[in-house]
Amino acid sequence: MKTNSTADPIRRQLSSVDPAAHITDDELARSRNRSLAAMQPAAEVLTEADGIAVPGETTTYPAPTKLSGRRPRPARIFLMSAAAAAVVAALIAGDVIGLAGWRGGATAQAAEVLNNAARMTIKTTDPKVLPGQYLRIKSTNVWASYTSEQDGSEYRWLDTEKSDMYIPADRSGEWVWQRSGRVPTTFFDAKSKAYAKKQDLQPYPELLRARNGAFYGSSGMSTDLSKLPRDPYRLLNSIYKQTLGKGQSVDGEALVFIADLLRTGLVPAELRAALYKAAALIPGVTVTEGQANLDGRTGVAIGRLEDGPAKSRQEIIIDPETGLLIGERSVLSQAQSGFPAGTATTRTSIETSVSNTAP
Amino acid sequence: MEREKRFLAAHTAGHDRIYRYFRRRTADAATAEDLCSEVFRIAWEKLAGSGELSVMVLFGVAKNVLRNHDRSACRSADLLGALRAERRDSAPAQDSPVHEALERLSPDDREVLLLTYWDGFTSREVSDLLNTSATAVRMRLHRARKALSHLIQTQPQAEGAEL
Repeated sequence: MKTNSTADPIRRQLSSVDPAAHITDDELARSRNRSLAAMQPAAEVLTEADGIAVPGETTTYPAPTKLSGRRPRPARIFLMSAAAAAVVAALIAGDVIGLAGWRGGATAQAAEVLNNAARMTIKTTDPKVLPGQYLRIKSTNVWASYTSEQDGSEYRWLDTEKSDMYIPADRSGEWVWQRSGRVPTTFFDAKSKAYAKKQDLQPYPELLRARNGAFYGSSGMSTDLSKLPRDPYRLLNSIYKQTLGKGQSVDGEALVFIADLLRTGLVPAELRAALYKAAALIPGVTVTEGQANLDGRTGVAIGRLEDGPAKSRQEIIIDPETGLLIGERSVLSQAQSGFPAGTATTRTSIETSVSNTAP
Repeated sequence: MEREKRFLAAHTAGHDRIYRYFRRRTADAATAEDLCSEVFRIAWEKLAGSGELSVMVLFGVAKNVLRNHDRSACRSADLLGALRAERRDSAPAQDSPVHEALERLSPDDREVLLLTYWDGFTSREVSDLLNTSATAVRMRLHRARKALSHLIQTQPQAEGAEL
């Protein structure tokens, strides 16, 4: 009806008692999500992938890590149900309708932190790498190790590895990667400690060189950063497209993708800002901790509780003052495979600088 | 994929309006969500054939879903009666003069009024939904408006709510 809404007293009075006047976005998003599930093909029998959580890697050797950001993540072997994947596949099909935004977003508090960080990020200029210089990405990584023997006994601990990567101004040139090797640093039980000692797990330092970052015979940088959209909504949609069917949940895996990409240290400021804004569009993203400490630096942890079989929080930690990414981590929200709740099964702290030389 | 696209188009166009429609006519968010998901389950079935699903067709489905819900709600009314009474006590908004006036309108007049002012339908759309003529709807709307303002004005506590 085209009646002027303020001039018509009947309309005004009815609006004042409209039970739907104060429906929140969350409430709508909840119902949207649920009614979208109607699209599941009824004829198929769809089952969730069963499994036992295995945080960390089952080997204690350093696993080849591609810089393209997909280090092996066995903790996320749980697949989305085929039904959920079908829904998402349809949602992002042909860009008709985007998955991003439509189903809600981060909490207001988390969105504020992320959008602020994005604003600060745009203001900062990335370190300029001149010809002959290197972008140096120094990181400390903590990874969970878990092994089981024939007799069924299980051992677990956390390893730490220091990594120093030198990326030439010309990305197709020779990259240099210095890895300290993994050193067991945290134990949760004496049995595992004794086991690790008996295995005599010596760190295995490496100095690697590879053109275009193609370490360990990989194909090098697989994600072309320049091709990723800078519009947050489109960016998130393109992320959903790439992560579809992986991880425990659509939204959880999208955040993992963002964290993986940020962790490389290669993301230019404008894309970093867009990634923060995209994270603000992911349903379930919250400020998980007011103050988070990573290697002595303090920031705000933004993350998402993964409610799948492996209950954990994927978090990125940013300095709200500068918008700089300090690191990222994945924290168990309940005990798992002998790792107590609260354990960071993966943790990375990152520092970026420019170097005139490489080892 | 074609069916999915048509479903998503219908969902995008209709979900929020249909959710609000249920929210206005049922007890709580959970019920509205249940009924909404039922509407889109039926919508998905309907899309097995060709053709699109317009918002008006979705609302036609929603109307039937709501009627079926009201029927089963009546059946379990004896069980829920006590609970309901409690909920009413704790919802003072229901006691406003406008609410009281609305309750005293005939169900048909009330629905025309609410479809128009809450759900934002045109007379044409209301007539489609209620299987009647647009003229009949406009007449009923006129009558309902008059009755409502009369009822509100004759209520002693109405002044405060006016401005």
